[in-house]
Amino acid sequence: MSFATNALALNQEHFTVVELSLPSFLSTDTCTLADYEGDFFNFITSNNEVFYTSENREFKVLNDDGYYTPLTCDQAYVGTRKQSYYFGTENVPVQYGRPPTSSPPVGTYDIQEPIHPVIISVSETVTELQPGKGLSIQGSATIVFRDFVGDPGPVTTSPFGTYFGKLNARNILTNKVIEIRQNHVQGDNIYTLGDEQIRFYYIESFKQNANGTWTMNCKDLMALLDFDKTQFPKPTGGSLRTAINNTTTTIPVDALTDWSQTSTPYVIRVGDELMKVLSVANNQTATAALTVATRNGQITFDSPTILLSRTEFDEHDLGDAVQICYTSHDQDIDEFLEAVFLDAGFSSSNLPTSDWATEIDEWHPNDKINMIWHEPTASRDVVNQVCTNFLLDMWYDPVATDVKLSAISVWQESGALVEEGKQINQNTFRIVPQDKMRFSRAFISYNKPYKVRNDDIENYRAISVNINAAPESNGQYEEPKTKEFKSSPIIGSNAAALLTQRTTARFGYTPEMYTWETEEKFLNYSTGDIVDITTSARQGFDGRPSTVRGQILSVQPVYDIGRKYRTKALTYEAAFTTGATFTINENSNNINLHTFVGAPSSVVNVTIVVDGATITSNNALSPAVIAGGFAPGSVITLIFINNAQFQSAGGIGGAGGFCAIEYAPASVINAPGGAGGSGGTVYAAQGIETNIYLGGTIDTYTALGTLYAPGGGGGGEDGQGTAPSTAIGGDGGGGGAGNIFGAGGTGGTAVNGTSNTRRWRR
Amino acid sequence: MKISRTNIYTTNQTSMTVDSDADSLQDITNVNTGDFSTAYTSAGTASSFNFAANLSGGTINYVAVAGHTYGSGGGGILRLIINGTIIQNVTFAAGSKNDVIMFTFDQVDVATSIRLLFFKNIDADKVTVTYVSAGITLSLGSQNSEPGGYSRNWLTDSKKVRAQVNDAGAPVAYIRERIARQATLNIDNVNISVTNANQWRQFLDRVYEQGDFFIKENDGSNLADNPLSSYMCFDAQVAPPKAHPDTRQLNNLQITFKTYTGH
Repeated sequence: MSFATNALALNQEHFTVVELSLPSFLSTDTCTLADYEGDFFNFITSNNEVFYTSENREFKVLNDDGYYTPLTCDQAYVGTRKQSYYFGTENVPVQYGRPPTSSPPVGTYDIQEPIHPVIISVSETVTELQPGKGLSIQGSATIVFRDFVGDPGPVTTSPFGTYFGKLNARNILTNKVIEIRQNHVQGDNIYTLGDEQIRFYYIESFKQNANGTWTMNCKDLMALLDFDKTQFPKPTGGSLRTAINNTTTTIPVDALTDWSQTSTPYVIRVGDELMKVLSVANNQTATAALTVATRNGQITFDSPTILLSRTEFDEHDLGDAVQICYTSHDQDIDEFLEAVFLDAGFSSSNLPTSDWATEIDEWHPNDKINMIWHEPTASRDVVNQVCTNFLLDMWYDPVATDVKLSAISVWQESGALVEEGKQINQNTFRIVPQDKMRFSRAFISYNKPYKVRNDDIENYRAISVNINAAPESNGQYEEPKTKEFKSSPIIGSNAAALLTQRTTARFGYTPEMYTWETEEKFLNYSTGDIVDITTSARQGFDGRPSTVRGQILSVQPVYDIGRKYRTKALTYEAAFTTGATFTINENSNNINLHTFVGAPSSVVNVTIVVDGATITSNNALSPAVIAGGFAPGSVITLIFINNAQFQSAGGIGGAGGFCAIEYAPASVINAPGGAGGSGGTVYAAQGIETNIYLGGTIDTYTALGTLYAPGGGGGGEDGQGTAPSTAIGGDGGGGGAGNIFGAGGTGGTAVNGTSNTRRWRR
Repeated sequence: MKISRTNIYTTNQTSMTVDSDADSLQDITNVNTGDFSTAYTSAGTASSFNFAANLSGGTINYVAVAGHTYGSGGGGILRLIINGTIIQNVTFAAGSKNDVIMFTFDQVDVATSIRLLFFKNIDADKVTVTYVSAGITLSLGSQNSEPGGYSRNWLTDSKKVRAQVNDAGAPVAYIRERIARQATLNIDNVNISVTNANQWRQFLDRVYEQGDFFIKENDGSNLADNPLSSYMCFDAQVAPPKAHPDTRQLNNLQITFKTYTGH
């Protein structure tokens, strides 16, 4: 039976096996050890006998076999052979790894190596999501082994010492994979890969304790992102071969750096200046040079044309560092993250990028990254910034060995029901309010024209603010509580608006942290899932058990009698479920309602109360308010209260008609005046059904508001010439009325012609 | 009750052979130690699994096997043969639970061969044997049995269980775990001639140098013989024999240990 099937059994028995795979030479390989204990080597017979000299010193030889590990052989380890070592908890059945019959099912484990039942304890601190804070807490595991007299080989053995002492001496265990295999005792004594849940970790350290035990500390794969391991972009270490002035576009560079490691065009940073490299000449020679675009203070990439950064051109000296930058030009978020993870050494098999793309396409379809990554930064910090700015959760799943990405959890539907007495062990449910995470307001500064400058506020041009008014109102918290995001050079206005809106929507009320214990039989959720939790520990208004939605932050196995799981979850306040109500109570202009409510991807029915606010547009071509990207079939209800208003800009006036005069034969031509422009649109439904209430009573609201239709621009006057001697152009039309008036039309032109020419001009 | 005190299975061993159902990838000498990380598993290609240890001699009156799977699968009959003489047959029903078996028999003064021959009901069954021990048992004179109240560990599973209940107090899940049960054997009124004799020293050597010993409870002297009423004992602490309060001719013994029954 599979692990999942076994886990459903009423009565279960668990045990754990750990497999360690280490690089090893074959017994048929040559493995000699030429430098061990100074100039001499222990001489040990095949019967593990040691000889002593007449002076009672151990007999040693000048050469000896190594121990067939890369560390104990002079020969280079070029193969891929691995030696597996198995360890188990003391309750490993004798039958594990030993098929009970000579014709077992395909895939049955038949383990020839010893399975040492010497595991004293296994403890895991699993990855834990940090909603709103970016990357999850890294997972780790600690395994304690009891040492014993033995030899790990894999080929040569020694009668001295202990098993783990020699294992540690002969191998470099750091960064080697270790598999923690969770098992159930099988009634048929057949154990296969499918019967196990394998959790993959990487060894960080292996140390001997004072009491004859050894402790192995392990980390999950996310450790590759740590600063002391990888930076993004990697330091390239190039330099200028000679000094340059502030205009030259031929940049002499050193001969060692590979300047073609990135395809052109790419960006380099020299001092505080960014330059766009168009081509590389004489790469890795004494005359290596880069041809850069005109140093006009702008780094622009085409298709689509985007100004990625402004820069200040300057003179530079011989030896100045030249860093090759990573350029994000209209780059999808998931593609950028993939690039960072691959650069950090992750295998593509660990990155389910199609799943990432699906998430990003659903929740950030219009958000791209435009950035020049000019300074080597810990890869973890780079990923963390992206996750924070786009409200992404990322974590490593040690079972699937995947890096998971959840684009925005506030919109997920519940996937499981968690009930007391089943998923929640009796009397284990705890609630801890997290008031530190409550934010009714959020803001972030963005739009940093000069990407190289520091992150002081003066280097940012725009700010996005969102206020969730309800929690601040009388009778509720009665105070604002504001989340200030670190200024971001990578997000645009849409992403900034989503970030602040989604933050206040999810964290407007004090989140609650829930913890409980679950038996393996009832474990029907995993990290990142959204669940409905029903427990008497959380009472509703009427005192009965209430159901609350939570996001699973971590599911940690703990070992008591067998396994059980300690779960952490956080209140999951969806930005809204269908039928939710939002309030606009601040004056603003050019609002996208879809973005305002958090960009739901599914069909929703949403009510938006415009409370005393005036929403305008300063451009007749841009509606004051648009429905935005709601899924077809959605319904928007707009309720205006307290004299709320939508206005827009007036239309521009039409141009006056010109007057042209012809002398031979004499005639006067008066062109008609131009038509005035239409007044701006106050609300563009864009195909989404919208109900608008400007008066009357709707639900608990007394509607009172106005949609002001802006005036169109006046038409231009026709040319007013009456005779060859009186050429008069028409007057321009007046601009239409609106929250701002439309521009007036230009006057018509009076033109004197010649007998053979006509000049038509406005 | 029988308690093993010596083990010559390894020390007097000259060679080992697997005469049927051999698996060339396995090492039969794995059964020589009480290290449960290694074992021997037969190939499952013959009707019987047959292996023998050839000895240079030695006195034995017991043979014990621990960590075996004779009862798994289709079961069969285990035959103990010493010096070519059949000592005993024990039947294992299909799927029967037993992991430790201890034969006791009349003393064989010069043992040169110990053969364990298992006739399988299903040829394809593989048989695993983890540890074999053979030697002499401890003779405690007239006190050769367990006292009243002694825990018969072979008659229970070496497990503990926790149950999870719902709000109604009804069980919804059980988790069990194998354990090494702790046991204490108190034997009072043992004549000092026993503890003063070499056999007591041999028992202590067995306990502390090999780390294990075997107990068989129904040994046939005053109860029906039952080789399955056995278990392996380890992690033992032998308290110094205590002088009887009334007479110095007697000692009271106390041995504390963990047991392995395998089920």
